[in-house]
Amino acid sequence: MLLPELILKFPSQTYCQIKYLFFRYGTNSSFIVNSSFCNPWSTFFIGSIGLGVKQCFSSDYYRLVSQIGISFHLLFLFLLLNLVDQEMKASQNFESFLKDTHKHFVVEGGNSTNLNSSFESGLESHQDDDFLQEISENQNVDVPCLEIILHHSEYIMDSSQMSASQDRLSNA
Amino acid sequence: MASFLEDHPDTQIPEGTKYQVTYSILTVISLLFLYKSKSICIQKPYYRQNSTIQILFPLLCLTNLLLNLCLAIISFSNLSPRRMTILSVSRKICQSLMLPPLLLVPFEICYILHTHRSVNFCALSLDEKHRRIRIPTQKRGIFVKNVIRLVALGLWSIEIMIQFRFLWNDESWEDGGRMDIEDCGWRTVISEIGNRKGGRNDMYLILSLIPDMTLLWVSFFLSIVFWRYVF
Repeated sequence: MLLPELILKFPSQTYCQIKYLFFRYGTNSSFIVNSSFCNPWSTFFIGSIGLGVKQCFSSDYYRLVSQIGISFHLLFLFLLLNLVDQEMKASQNFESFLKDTHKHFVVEGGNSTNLNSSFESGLESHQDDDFLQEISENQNVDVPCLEIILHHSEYIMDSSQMSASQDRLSNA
Repeated sequence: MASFLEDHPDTQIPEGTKYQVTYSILTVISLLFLYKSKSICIQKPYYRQNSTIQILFPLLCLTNLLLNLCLAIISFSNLSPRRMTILSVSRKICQSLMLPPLLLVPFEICYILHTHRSVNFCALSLDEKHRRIRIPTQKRGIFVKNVIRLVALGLWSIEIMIQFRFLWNDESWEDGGRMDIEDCGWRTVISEIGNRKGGRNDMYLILSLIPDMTLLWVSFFLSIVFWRYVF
């Protein structure tokens, strides 16, 4: 009695797991976060279906259909180019923002020997000031969001900058 | 040159208003594509730095435009046989030129995106810079890029051989050149493959579909990579 239900249930569970894994991957890698799998990144997949349709006809309609298919493919290639450009711009903005904030903190707490402690003390001292307010006004980010970003920014920061500042400290 | 042109006639001439209308619409669309591709490659900084996209993407749109233009001219007017052969040869050149950019441009976009955001892609572990890997990622990237270029070159050579019939004559094809072998799809393969005597013609028929088939699989793979980038 239970056999059909089991047969139905097993693949559905595995599919759910795979979907969940893909979703986790997407939240890590894509910068502009999308809620479902029906997002603009599937456009190129639809476009390459046009290339597939191109091959399936006999010689009467082959040229006509191949031209239509290639035009379809090119249209979605254009959409993809725009999408990738938006993604790269967003990531570059975020990187430059992180670098700016890091520079500010290093200059402020440069006298102390340990860089990490100076970084943390800088954070604590500036959280009460209007500094966060200023950044949020400049970069159009909410203040609580900024706090979270700044707490995690030392893990994301450029390693070369960190090493350069450490060298400077050791020389002093 | 004249004998070369006479050897490559365009056997199947499209007639009727449906061909004229569709080809003229496609020509206008491909003109828009060419204009848009030029503006994209000039304005966007990431594509301007990459020479492959900057050269090949406008070339792809240009060949698309020329191909549609040739087909539209052939469908519209009754030409003399000499002009007809010139047009058909130029059409074949354009059709074979379109294959390498269609393979290389999406791959380059994928490569730029994944290196810039440091996400793993196609045997390149880009997110682990600090770990010791036996072959460094930079060398691996150069290797993968050149492999794709070699594949594109090979497919292009196969496409040229098929378009200009270096492998077979019309005599070896039983219908005596009634059908353009380079214009046959899978439907022809399924319907015709058992009916003929020699196996060589079937081999040519399948060989003519190999470049497009490879292109199709690569583009599906890349599209899945792009899709997985998000969901």
